[in-house]
Amino acid sequence: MQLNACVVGLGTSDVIGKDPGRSPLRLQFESFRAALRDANLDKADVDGLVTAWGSPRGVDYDEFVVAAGLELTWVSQLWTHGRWTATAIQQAAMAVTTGVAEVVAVVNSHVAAQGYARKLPQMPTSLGAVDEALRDGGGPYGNWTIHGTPGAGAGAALAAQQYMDRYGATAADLARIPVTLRAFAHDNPMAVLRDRELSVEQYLAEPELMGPLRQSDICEMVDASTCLLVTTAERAADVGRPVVHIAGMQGIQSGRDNYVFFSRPGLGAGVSPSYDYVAPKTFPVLERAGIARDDLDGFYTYDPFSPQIWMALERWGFCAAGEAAAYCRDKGIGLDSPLPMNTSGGSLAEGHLYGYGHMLEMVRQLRGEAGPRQITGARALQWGTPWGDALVFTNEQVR
Amino acid sequence: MTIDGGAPDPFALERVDAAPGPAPHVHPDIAGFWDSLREGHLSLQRCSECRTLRFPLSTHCHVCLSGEYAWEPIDPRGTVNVAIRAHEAVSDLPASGVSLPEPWRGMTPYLTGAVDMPAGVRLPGRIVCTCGRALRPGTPVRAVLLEAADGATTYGFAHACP
Ligand SMILES: [Zn+2]
Ligand SMILES: [Zn+2]
Repeated sequence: MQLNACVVGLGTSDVIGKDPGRSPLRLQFESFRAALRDANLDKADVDGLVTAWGSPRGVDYDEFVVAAGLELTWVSQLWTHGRWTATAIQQAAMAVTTGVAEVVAVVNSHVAAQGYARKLPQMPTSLGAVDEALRDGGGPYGNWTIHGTPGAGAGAALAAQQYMDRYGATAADLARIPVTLRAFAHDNPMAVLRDRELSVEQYLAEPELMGPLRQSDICEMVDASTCLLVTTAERAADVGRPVVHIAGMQGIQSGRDNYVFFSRPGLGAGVSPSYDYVAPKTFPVLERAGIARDDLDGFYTYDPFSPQIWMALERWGFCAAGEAAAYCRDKGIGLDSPLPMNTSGGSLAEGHLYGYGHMLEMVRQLRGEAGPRQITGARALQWGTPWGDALVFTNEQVR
Repeated sequence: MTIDGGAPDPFALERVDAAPGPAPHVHPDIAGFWDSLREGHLSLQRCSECRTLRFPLSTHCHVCLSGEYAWEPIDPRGTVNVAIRAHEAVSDLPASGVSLPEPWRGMTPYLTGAVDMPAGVRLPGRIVCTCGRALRPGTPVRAVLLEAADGATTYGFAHACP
């Protein structure tokens, strides 16, 4: 079945900040209204909604439907994790392609522990959710919480250390990632770290916190909301905005080889096997979009921690296993590189928008609305994470 | 420790002094793991149908889906697959992706990681090591018993620091 899905509207909360003092519901109203304005649509046009990030640090779908007076024919709510970004958009694309809904809002709101979440009741983990290591048998993390690795950062640090041990990558190599993303943030008026320059020397002067990770390797948690409106090509053509097609998709690869969310396959993260990973020549996401890897003008990945960029480059075959550190050092990931990445500044410097900030940026790039961050002539962009989910967005120049 | 008063038990775990971590949450279905630790062994489940030794702990076999299994003590000697230090500076962090909850927050610096066991599994665990050599992959370590909160016992690993 051919995909028939486009992004026609995007919006953020009026503020993206460390502590703007606004509830998740208020932030979500702001992003939802901004997306409707952007697409020149009315709330009555929206008949579907998908969210990943529910109450209390976000807004459950039913809470928002009642608060916003929506009448919907299709809704979905995922799990309070950053891993669902592409999946949420894929659900919206499948909903409009199959016709169970015509205009779907992919809307998420989230408040952080240093922000509005201080006003919420104490919750047992930093994510405000039940500790997953308390699942029967410790769950797939193998009860790591009781071993002193109770957060996402420890999992990312372990995978990064495995990478550095195996391939001899250094702290100076890793520095290239936060330094480049900080430079992108300088050109993004919405980025929380837009005024905080970072050099390799400054990076190396920061103390290590968890394994090899320093402060600048760790995403900036913010209070914010994002919204994308997804509809069919026919409906999109009526809206009068530049059309961005959701041209290809590929789901989260889930198995004992792939479940660790901070590693590409083959590094031996968690209980997964160690082996020499070789990326396929192409992927279903590219085949569905009808393009080759070389046709991509930019690449976006979820970057709560710097080493995710290495993992994603290798997972998706932009360089061979073990070469990403040298690739980032020698070719870079900036606008002047062969493959610009996370041009908004990403989670490290724009702010942690659970990956949806990257999706908004891809749409802006394909509309030619990215200002000083614009990738010249951008026609096709890929999202792909180290654990295997992906999207390809294209504009009219590809069709 | 000896079995039936006979030869020394090569799989018996020593108890090592270290600041107690949090107590595990014991699901009744896998309580045998914690019972075994109290008896001084690190035991995993071996499937009665296909004989796979499994980790993580689970009620059923991930290969054949059988629910029949027996707890089997494993050799406590292993080698470090990966180890990291939770640095002292992490204790000063405000809430973020790497901040630690108590009691870990107050316990830095400490080492933690994953250890490859001769039984063919890779196990997570805290690594007690004062010399820092356990940060190097391939370093031999031994599974040990560690005190946890509320008088509970968990396992970890220890390096024979020179
Ligand atoms: Zn079996
Ligand atoms: Zn030692």
